[in-house]
Amino acid sequence: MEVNTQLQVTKTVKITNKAGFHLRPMNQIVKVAETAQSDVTLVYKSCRADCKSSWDLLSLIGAEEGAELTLCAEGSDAAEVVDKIEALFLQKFGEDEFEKTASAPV
Amino acid sequence: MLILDNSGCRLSRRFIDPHEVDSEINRLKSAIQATSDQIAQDRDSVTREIGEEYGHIFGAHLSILTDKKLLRDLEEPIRQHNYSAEYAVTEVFDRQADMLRRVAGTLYSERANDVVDIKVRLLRQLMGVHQNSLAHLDRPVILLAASLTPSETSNLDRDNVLGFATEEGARGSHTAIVASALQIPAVLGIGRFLADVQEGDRVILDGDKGLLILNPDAETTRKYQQIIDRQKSVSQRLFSRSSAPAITQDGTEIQVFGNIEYHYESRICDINGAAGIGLYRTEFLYLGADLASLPTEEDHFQAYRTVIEAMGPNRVTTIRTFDLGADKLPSGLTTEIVEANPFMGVRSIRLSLKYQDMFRKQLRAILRASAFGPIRIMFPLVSTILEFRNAKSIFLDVCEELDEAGVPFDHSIPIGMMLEVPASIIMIHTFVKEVDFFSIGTNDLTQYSLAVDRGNKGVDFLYNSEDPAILQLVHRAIQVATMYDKPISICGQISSDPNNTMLLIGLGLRHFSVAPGVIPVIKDLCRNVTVKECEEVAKKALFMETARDIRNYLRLETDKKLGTGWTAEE
Repeated sequence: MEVNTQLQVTKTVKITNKAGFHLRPMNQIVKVAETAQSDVTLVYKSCRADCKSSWDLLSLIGAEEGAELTLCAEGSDAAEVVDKIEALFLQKFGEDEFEKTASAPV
Repeated sequence: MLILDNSGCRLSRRFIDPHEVDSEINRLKSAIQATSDQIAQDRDSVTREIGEEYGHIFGAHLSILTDKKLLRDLEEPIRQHNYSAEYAVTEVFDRQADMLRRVAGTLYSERANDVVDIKVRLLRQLMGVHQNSLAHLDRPVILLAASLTPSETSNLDRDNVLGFATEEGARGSHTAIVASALQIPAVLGIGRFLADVQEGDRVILDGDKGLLILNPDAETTRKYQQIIDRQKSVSQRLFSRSSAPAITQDGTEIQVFGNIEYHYESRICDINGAAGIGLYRTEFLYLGADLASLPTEEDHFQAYRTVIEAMGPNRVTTIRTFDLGADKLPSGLTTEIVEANPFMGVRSIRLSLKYQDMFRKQLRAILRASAFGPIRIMFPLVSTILEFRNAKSIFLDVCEELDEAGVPFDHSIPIGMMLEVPASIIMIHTFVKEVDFFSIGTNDLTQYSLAVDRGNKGVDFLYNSEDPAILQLVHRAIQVATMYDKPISICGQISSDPNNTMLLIGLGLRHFSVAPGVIPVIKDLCRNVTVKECEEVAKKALFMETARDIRNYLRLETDKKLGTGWTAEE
């Protein structure tokens, strides 16, 4: 992690769920970002999207499993919101666990 | 057969007069508002009817449509270039959809469909085209279309749409997911075919094989008619009797419970005639949509209460305390637990005993929910008797707290455990004295007995729940539990496979705990066998040396019993 000032945090996050970036992850990210005071953006290839905007985040759809995105927040709670959104990525947006337990009951 | 032309809406007017800008923007805003209301309705009805997992799709549509940046993007061409609202919507959404198709690989380009869905709804609203003609049809049809959006699919007239086929689309798309949840046969993404059919042609849609047959010959039609007749009679037989008890030909009742993960699955169990919930996996509360915070006691309570009330006063709900750890960790703990060998590490009951606050919170919620109907509590992955005693003493402690606080709960809740560590079955003669009931988790039991990571492709050929070693363990567990009059069930995949039903009855199993969808099949099979012949089958299987021999033998015996092709489609 690279911390430029107290108020700006940048981290690389990786998509690890099989379905890649789609509506459900998008919705989860917006919900978390909306609660933050900081400005939060995700950058993938040439697309930069405001995490508080579903419409903006649509442009990241197509980022597949394995894709690396840059997560950037600026504001008083930057570190916190970056951690929260990173956790969503790490947890595969709650998706593959669902599949796994559904196919293997116990 | 009905051919749908959803190539889009034609636009009459592209530009407005400059003085109309403000009123045009107001018109746009009220159309967005009205469309949002519709989508919210769809979200709620879909959530109610087929579950939250599907409602999320429309929740996402709603969040896109109400986005401030979208409004800004739409307002701009109206102000700057005097576009009409319709033209602005078309331009802005088409640009976004095109971009999605371009950046995304073929697998993902389907997702542009969601954007088109929102666009079409908004345009319909703007142009005053309200009715969704597909929601009310006057005769049964097979629907053929270039593509169908998720919202069109969820609004289909389910009495009259026998199935649908589309030129575009993909198996994993939201349209496909919604169709399968609604049990509408569908074949998506066939490629161009609409030019070759006319309304009124005869077509056959085979959702199982993913085929659309245009103008079939007499022989093919006859073949398919037979398949339809057979499926109808099988499913009628299964479902007409699904709520009746499953009693073998020689008079032994077999109870078939359902395994669930999400509370809305309790409805499927109810419809399919489950004797109760044999396994309610509660991990989903931790792994679900909101990962940023751990669930509150109230979250637990509400989920449990929904299931308990769905099952009513006469059917028990078995709640397994959270089975987290290894491959399933809530976000708060990922950084705290770093293990070289997580499947042998702090997971399941071990995690509960380590993070007792989480465990107590869950137990309090379960106890509170017990005031609303019969429940049982089950601890996962117990290895030693001390671990069980430990967990139970925490449970008793929580009971005491609630008593002191005057909170009502059921004081006679049975406390059981999963048998999934080989040691617990070897030592079952000790456990039976203190544990009220058991459930064998054959999936983890297989993994630990054969020392094979079930997720590792290099060794997964060793992973067989029908391995003779597993049968020996299962046999011993059932024998000892039965000797001590303690209820025992199996909730692993082995019991959801109808090919194993005879074997398990023969090994002495009287309580099955299976995937909700197979309950009618298993119950039907139970009614067609005698315990005596099942015991013969089990005796033979126990002497076999390999999993493959056992599986082949069981399949043969099951087919002999019911004829091939009886297995219900899932």
